Amino acid sequence: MVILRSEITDLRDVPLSEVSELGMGAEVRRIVPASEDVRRVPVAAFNSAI
Amino acid sequence: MPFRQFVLKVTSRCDLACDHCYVYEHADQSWRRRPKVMARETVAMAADRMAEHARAHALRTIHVILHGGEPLLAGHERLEETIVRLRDAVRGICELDLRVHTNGVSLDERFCRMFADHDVRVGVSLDGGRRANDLHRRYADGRSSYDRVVRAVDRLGREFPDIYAGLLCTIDIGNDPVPVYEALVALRPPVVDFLLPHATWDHPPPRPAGVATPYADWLIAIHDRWRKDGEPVRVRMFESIIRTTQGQGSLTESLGLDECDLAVIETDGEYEQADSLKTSFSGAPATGCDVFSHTLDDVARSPAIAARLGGLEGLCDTCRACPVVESCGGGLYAHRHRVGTGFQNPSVFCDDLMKLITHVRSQAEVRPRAGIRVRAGVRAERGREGAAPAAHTIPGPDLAALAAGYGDAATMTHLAASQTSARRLLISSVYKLAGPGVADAWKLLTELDRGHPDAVREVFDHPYVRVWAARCIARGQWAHPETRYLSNIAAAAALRAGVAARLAVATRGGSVPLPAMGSIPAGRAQEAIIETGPGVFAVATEDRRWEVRLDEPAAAGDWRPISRLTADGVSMALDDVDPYRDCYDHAVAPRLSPERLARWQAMFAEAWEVVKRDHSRYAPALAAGLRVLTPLVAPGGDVQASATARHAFGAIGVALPGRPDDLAMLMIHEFQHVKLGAVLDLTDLFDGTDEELYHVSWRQDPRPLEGVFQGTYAHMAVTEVWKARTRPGMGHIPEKATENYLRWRDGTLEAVDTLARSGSLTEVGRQFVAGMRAAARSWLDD
Repeated sequence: MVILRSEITDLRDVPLSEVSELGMGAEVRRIVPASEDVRRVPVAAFNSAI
Repeated sequence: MPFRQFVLKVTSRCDLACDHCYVYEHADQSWRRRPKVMARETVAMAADRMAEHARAHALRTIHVILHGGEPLLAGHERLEETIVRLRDAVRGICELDLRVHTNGVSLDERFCRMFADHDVRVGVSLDGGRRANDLHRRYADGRSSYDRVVRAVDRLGREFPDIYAGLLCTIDIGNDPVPVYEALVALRPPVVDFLLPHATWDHPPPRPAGVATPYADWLIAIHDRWRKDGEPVRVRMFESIIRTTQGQGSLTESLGLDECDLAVIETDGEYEQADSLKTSFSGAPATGCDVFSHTLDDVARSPAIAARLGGLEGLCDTCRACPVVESCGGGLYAHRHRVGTGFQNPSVFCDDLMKLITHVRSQAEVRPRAGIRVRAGVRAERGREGAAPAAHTIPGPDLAALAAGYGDAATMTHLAASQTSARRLLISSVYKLAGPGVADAWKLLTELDRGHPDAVREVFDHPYVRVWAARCIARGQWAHPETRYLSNIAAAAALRAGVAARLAVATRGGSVPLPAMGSIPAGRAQEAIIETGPGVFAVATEDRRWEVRLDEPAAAGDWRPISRLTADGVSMALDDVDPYRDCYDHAVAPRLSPERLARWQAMFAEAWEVVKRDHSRYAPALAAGLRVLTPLVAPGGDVQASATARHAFGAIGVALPGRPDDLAMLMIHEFQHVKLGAVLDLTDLFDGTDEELYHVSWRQDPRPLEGVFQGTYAHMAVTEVWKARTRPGMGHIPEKATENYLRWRDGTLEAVDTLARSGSLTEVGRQFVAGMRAAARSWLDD
C-alpha cells in the first residue's frame, strides 16, 4: 500500500502566531465542510459602510 | 457577474451636516429631487428585484446595507417594515445578510433591540475622539454629535455585541492619527476602517506644502501602533492589503482588483453605481434604470455598468505596470476621475497608496505559504529551521493496518499528529473570527505556544476543543459570543503550564469550563476572571471567588475535575463536564455521582481485560488513541447506546451497559469510527460528490457512501468480536454467538463489495477497500 501523502499540512512546529496568517481557507473548509470562506468582515466591499 | 451587494437608500436626508459628506457637499446634488424616505411600494419592488436576481443567479447569500442620508430617520416602524419586507422577499431563496450604517445620533435602545431581533448588524461613523470627530461631524447649527454617538456605540458594545459591526472613520490629516486610533479602539469595535476623504484629480485632497504623502504617513502611524498593540481590532484597510498580497480578495472596494458587484437603490427606486461617485461629477453614479421598469440584469447590461471593467483590464497603463497593483487596484473608482480622461487615471491618492502598501507589506512580513518557517529544534526529526511545512504522511504499513481494521500505537501517533495540526489550524481560524474580545487570550496562547508547547497541545488535543472550533467556523459569524471560549482554552493551557496569567473567561451553563481539566460553578455570571499559577487557580465573579489547589482532593469542593478511568496499562479521561461533549446523536449524561463513577471505573477495568484477552488486535490502538469516554444517557431496557462525533477525535460517548464485554464491544466499535474519521480528514477515500444511496444489511434506509464506509469499517470489528464470542468459555451461548457472527460477517462482506463496486473510490480509497476486503475475506477461511 502506498505511503499516504495527506491533505493536512503539518503545523505542529509552525508558531501559532503564524498559523493564522497562512491563508489556509481551503484546508479549513475541507476539515469543516459546513463552513464557507470565513465570512467577509464588512460583508460588502461597499466603502461607505462597515 | 451578478450583483451580490445592495445599498438601499431608505432615506435621502440626514440629521447631521458633516462638511465632508459626499452625498450633500460634493458634485452630485441629486438628493435634492429625491423623496426623503423610500416609499413602501419602492421598498417592496426593490426587495422583489433582489429576490428575483438571487433566484436567477442561484446566489446563496446577498448583502443589503440600509443606508442614507441617515437611515434611522425613517423611524422605528418604517425601518422594521422594510427589514421584514426584505427578509420575506428572499425567504427560501437565499441567505440575507442585513446591515445598517448610521451616524449613530438617533441610535436608541429601541432601535438596537429591533435590529437585534431581526439580526441586523450596525455600523457607525465616528471620526475619532471628541476633537477629531467634531471637526466635521456636527449638526447644522454647529453642535457636537460626539456624546450622543459615543453613548450609542457604548450601548451597542455592552448590550448588543452580537450586532455591533464596527466603526468607520473618515481621515482628516489635521488630526493626530494615534489619538484617533486610541479613541476608536477604546470603544472595542470588532472592525475599524479608515476612509480616505473623497477627492478627484480636479478637486485633490488637502496636502500640507512640502509633504508628498501625508495620507500614507497618517495611516502608517496608526498601522505601526496597531501592530505594536498586537492588532487588537481588525482594520479593513490593512487586512485588505495583506490579503491581496497573498492572492486573496479585498475586503473593501477601495482596494484590490475584485470586480464591483454592488448596486445602489435610491429612495425613488433608481439604480445607481457606488455612491462615492457622487464626488466625481454630477450624474456620475446614474445607470438610467429603476426598480419599477428594470431587472438587476438590465442594470448589469446598462452602459454605465458595462463600461466599468473589473480587474487589470479596467485600469490605466500606469496602474497596470505598477508593482503594487494587486493590492491597490487603482484605488477607489471615484478617486481616479479627471475631466478629459474620465476614470482612466491612477488614484489621486496614488503616491500615498504606494507608500502605505509597501510599508504594510514589509511590516507584516507577508510571505507566500511555502516561505513559512517551522520552529527550530522542537522536533529533532523534522525541526530544521527554514523548511516549509510539509503535509502529514502515513507510512504504508500503518495505512495497511488501518485498512485491515487495526493499527497500533505508532499508527495512532500518525493520526494524532495530523489531528494536532488540524486543531492548530481550526483554532487559529476561530481567532480570526473572534474579534477583539479574545486578544488577551490569543496573546497568552501564542506565548505559551513558544514557551510551553506541550501544555498548549494537551489542551488543543482534548477531543471537544475541535467540536467547539468547528461549531464556530461553521457558524462563521464575526465576534460571536461562542468564540470567547478561546479564553477558557488559553486559561487551561496556562494552568497546565503552571504559568501566572489573568484572563476574563466565558461561562457555559452556570460554570466556568476549563477544557481537558474540569469546571467550576459560576452562578449566573456571564463572565468570570481567572487567575492561574503553579498548581493553583482562582475564579472570581462579581459576588464570589473560588480558589482551587490542584493537588488537593476535589470531592468536597466546587471544583469538578475530569475524572480518570484506569485499568491495567491504560488510563483515560471520563469527561462528564465539558460543555462541548454534547456533540453526539444521543443525550449526554450529567456529572456522575461518586457511586456511579465507581461503577464506571469497575466496569471499565473489567472491559479492558476483555479487550486485551479476547480482542487483542484492537487493544494497542485503543490504548494509544482513546483519550476520553463520555457517559451518555442510557436508553433504558436492554438497549445499548454509543456514539462518535467526527470532530471529537479521541473520544467516544457510551451509556454504561450491563456487562463488561458489552462495554468492550462498544468501545471497539466506536473507536473504528474514530480511526476512519481521522483517515478521512487526511485524504479522500471516495468522491464526495457521489450522491448515490446504497443498501446495507444493518439499515432499513439506503445510505450515502460515507455512511456505508463508516458502517462497514465499524462492523468489521463487530464481526470479529462476535467471532471471538463463539469460542467456548466466553460467557455467550455458542449457537447464538455463531448466529450473530455469521449475520455480521455476511452483511459486512456484502457491504465491502458494495464499496468496491461503487465506482466512486479514489486511488487511495481503492487500496484501502482492497485491504478491508482482504481482511474480511479471511473470515471465510475458517
